[in-house]
Amino acid sequence: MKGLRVLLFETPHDPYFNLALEEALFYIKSKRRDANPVLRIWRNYSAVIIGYFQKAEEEVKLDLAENLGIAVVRRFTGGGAVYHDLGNINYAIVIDQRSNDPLNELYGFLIDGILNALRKFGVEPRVENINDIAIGFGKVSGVAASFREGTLFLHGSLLVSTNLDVLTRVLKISEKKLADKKVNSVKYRVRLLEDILGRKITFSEIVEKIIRGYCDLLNLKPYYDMPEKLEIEAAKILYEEKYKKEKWNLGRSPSSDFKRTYTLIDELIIQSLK
Amino acid sequence: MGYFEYKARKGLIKVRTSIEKGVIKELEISGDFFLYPEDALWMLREYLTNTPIDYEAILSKIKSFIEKENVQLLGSTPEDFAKAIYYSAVGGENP
Repeated sequence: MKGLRVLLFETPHDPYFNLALEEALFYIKSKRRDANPVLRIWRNYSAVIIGYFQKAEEEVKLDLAENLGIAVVRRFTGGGAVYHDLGNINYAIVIDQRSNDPLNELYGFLIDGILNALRKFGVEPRVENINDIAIGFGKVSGVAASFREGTLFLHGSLLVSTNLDVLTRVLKISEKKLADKKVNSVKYRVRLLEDILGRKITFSEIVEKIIRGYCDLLNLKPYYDMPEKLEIEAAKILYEEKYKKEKWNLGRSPSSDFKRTYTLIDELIIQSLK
Repeated sequence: MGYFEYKARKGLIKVRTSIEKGVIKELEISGDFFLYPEDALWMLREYLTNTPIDYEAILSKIKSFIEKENVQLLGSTPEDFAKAIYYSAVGGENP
């Protein structure tokens, strides 16, 4: 059956597993081009997620994060650090590449799913500077993306009711970046969707709108599903071998330094075909 | 160890370099930019080792690296990276 496979699987108290599953879904899909596209919506309880190329100590007040019980986890996509609590909704889409310009497909087309979702709240979102999504004067969402072997991956975080005081305190913001944005704190350029709408938004309401936003974009019908055994097993390998490791999160090692991880997943995939 | 931050249209490029006898010996590039395929960033380090501290020399190495490894930059240019690296190597003066 063709459709948009929707996963609401999340491990908010284990951000390392949440991030491991993101990569597992992408990796497994890239090995199975016939599989349906995946839309995953999920949350973390309290974590800072840094971009692939960032240095943790340059982006995060590590002592404060530790004191507040905020995990610091690296993702496999580029871009900047974000703070996740339950008021921040994450979405990820994994889909076959259709053109010969994956970057344009990702940042010029797949980003529109979240714009569709936001429009359903009666607001007018716009893309700013490639990967930011703003409404009025403030940024409510940012996306980051990757592609491999004919498969596209885009994920983003949406500030619905996040605690901006914690966000402002735990993230370090570079002077050069601030000068560029002409504001003196990250707090004044990010905005919460609840503040824009002037009302509370439930989790199920935002989930429903993100699903419809992507179904409209892709012209697909949604169906709810759970991660398959293979996806969970792959995520467990990524979790144990990579995402739980300081070498990945706090050091600065490329994925290619975690060869064993991918060898184990490839073996798993071969076994699953038998 | 020289350090420099350069703001590209998208992303801040942060560079640390160490210099020996007028050439780049060690190089670390971090930041919130977008570069594809991602792991190529770690190869750039090797490409630039032993490059003289000369803006044009650095730029031409970056350009040949991008071509050879099929690298795509999103919101930044080879010039942005070359400036960040050059200013880091000469001690971090603003361009």
